[in-house]
Amino acid sequence: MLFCIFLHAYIGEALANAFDAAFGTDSEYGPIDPKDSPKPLDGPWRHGSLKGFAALRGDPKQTKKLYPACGLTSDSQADCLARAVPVAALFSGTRRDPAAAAAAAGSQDQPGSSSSMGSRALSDAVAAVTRVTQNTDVAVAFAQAFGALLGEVVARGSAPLQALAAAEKALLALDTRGENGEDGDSEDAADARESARQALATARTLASQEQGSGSGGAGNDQKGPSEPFLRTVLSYAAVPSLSEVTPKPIA
Amino acid sequence: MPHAFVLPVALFALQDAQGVGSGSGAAGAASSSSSSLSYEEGVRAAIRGGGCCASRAIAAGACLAALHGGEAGSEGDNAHGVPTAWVGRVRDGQQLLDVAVKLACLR
Repeated sequence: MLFCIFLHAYIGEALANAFDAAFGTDSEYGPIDPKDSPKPLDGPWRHGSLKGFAALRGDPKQTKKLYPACGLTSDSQADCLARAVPVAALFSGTRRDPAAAAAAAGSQDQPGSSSSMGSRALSDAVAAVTRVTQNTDVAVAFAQAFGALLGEVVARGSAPLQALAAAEKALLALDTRGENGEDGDSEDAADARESARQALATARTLASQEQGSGSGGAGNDQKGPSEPFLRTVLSYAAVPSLSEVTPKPIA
Repeated sequence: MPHAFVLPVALFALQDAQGVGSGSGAAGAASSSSSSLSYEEGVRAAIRGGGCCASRAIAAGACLAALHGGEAGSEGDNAHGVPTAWVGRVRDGQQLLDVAVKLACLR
């Protein structure tokens, strides 16, 4: 347990240094652009969490913030999802090996099943790398949800709806930590995980309803999701109306 | 952020309704029906959602690449995968894809 804490701190600081080198104010990205600077930027672009991190880490007036203090304590943007992608690839790579996949066949490590050890290791690693730039329970919880989802697809070959259900289970399993004499999470962390789990459940319900309505399903000539489905998911993304969605092709 | 998460994940979940069976990578690509969202279509849909679209597009792309196979593809050759033209427009794009594959093979 203690070893894991030190390992994650070491990895977190190493990643912070790598981010510093690649995206910091002394990198080719340069100083942080003011909020009201004209868009699009004439040059490389950093998303909000990286800008916040670079500003915190590179502030010459302050002592250099070490991990996890280098992560913003007020940032729960979806940027955290990007942190989970390489971690999920790393933790799920074994099953790309046909021999490992064959070894897993017949065991309980089947599509949709939850391997608690693997899920926990993945979740802990996702939390560690998320806190480098976003040191909030909400960002960590949603990154963990996304990492669990990707892990299910890559490692176990789960179909999408099956993977969502398994990711929900993986999040619930994280809530048992305090029962084994280990340090329990704060109430805020548990609430954040529940919020992430509900978001997964909402996505699963919306997709199931779409499937049930016959829109966009297999064998249907319609390409992609139906307009009502898009309207609903866009409303969750805080986009007031479909008319705000500008179908401009990417040049 | 919580609700913004629903968009890419719901788009991904919808692939179940669109003929994409279980199986990742090449297996997933092989089982993709013509009506399922490709990497390009999913990423474009996430971007068109407006707002904080960059990370949602990353999320949608990661899900669809996991499902269809992350290898770059073009018409008739893993057409549901990462578009070859897009990889070419990213600085060190092919190198980044190679690193991702190596990362997945580390364990």
